[in-house]
Amino acid sequence: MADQKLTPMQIYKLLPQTNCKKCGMTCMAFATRLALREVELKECTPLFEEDQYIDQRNQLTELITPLLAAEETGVALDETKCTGCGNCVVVCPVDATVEPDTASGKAARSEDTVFRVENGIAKIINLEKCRRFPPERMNCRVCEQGCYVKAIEIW
Amino acid sequence: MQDTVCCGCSVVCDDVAVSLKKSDLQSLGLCTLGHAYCASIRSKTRLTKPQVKMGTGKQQAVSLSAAYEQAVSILSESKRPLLLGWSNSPSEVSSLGITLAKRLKGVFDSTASFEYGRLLDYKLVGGEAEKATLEDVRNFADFIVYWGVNPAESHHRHASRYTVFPKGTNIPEGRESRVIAVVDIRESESMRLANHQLILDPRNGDEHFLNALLNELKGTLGTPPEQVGGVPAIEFLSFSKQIKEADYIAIFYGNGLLHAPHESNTLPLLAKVANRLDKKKRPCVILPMVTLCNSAGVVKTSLEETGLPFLVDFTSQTPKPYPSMQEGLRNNEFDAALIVGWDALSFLPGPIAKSLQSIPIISLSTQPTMTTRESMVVIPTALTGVEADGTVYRMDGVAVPLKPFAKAPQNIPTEHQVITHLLTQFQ
Repeated sequence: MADQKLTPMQIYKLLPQTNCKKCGMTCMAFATRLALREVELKECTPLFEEDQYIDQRNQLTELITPLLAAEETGVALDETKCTGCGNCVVVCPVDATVEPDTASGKAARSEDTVFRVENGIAKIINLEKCRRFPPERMNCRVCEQGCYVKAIEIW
Repeated sequence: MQDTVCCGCSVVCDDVAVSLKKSDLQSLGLCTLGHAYCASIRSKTRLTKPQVKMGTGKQQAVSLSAAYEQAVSILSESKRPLLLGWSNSPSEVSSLGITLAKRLKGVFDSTASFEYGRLLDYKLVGGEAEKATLEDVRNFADFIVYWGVNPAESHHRHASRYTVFPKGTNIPEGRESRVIAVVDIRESESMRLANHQLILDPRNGDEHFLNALLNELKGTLGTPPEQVGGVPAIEFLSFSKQIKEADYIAIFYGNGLLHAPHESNTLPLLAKVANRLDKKKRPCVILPMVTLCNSAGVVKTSLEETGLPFLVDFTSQTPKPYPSMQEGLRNNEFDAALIVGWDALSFLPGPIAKSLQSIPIISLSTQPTMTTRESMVVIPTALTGVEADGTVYRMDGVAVPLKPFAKAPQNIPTEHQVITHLLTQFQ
């Protein structure tokens, strides 16, 4: 199974950290977006053009290869642990798009969100909309990180 | 599905919906606590018949009028009754309760006297910050402190609706636009969301930490000791630096602080810290994490009608502050108790509960509890917010009109009807 628990901080430590913005953003922002698969490593041109970064480039390439190769992913919610706090509903970027009120804390009421709290327990009602799946295939883990009780598991 | 308002805790969620078909309750948006609260109307254990303790000492089911008769008899004979509970009832009910206490020359107290502590005694912050609501916290607060409270267990939706995750006017990125600190004496689930996870020494950590923070804010601390109330100095300094840089601070305190050792020092210290942090352009809001749905409302009603937040003594013409409900019970100062919507015997410390148990109790409840089992008279009532109408006040003092969605079973009155009936007997 691919190691998708790669954090932006792990990536940032291996970037040039010069904030040259040749990629259009700071190194930390680039690290965050690379972890989410929103940008590609080659967009950090100094890393490939300057010899001083050769070790870092190799290490980074190795680090992100499993991430890029990952075809399988999954999100599971352990309903026995869930308290229905709705943290997953509010943090999920897909929910915010399909039912914008959720981003400002409101409960998901439509049938279009990824998460919805039903009968006191969060349910994943549209798993296929999760950004981890094609076409985005992003390494998004915000629901897992926002869960109080570790009820959400991502692999 | 129809919209409703949840009375499961003091967050009083008003963005939820339910549908009830026979005994099957379906809900959207309610947390575990809220769903269980609403579903309890169909619980098999629910109280359905009034009960009166007979000469044998055993409770027997009686008619509602017989229960009323016994209740009136107990209250008539009482020289000084204690009227207790009220925080799970709409404000309309607590208002009637205050009138009843006045007529009976009794003492009116609510659970809020435990939940607020003496913080009400202190003028905390002036101006707009004093009127701050949870919506203001959601829209503007970029530094949140939970002190001695674990909302992950007690107020499930507090963080997702108002404090940690939601986006707001000045909080464009939600969680990433805020700094969260959780202060406790142990690692809690809420700390999973926090930038600052501050674990205090249970013996005197709150007091030492607050003292050091106050001195740091005054600029008189100098170099802190290696440990500040059990927290490594580096973590203390990082916390104090970030809180000073915040644009809007919201501090939520709970029982962990209220019942900390040296609590007579910690609350005034927290008030001083909040006052010191509060500036014209950088409000510092401080809110108690009361637990019951109308704790804030009972305080409001009591303040409006008596000038006192709780512990109101009506023995004389003018209402006077009563020093302590627990001490009063310990000293056998009451000869009867009317307990509305609260399981006092489970909550109170053993010796105090025993004193309460030794006087005749009239209890109003939806479910059997330790208190109802020991009561002389038990009157089953409709469930607030689900079957009974009225207004409750959220933890920040915002009024929320209830939207009941079910009818109480036949012969089960609302608390409002019971207290109204008792009032007619004591003109």
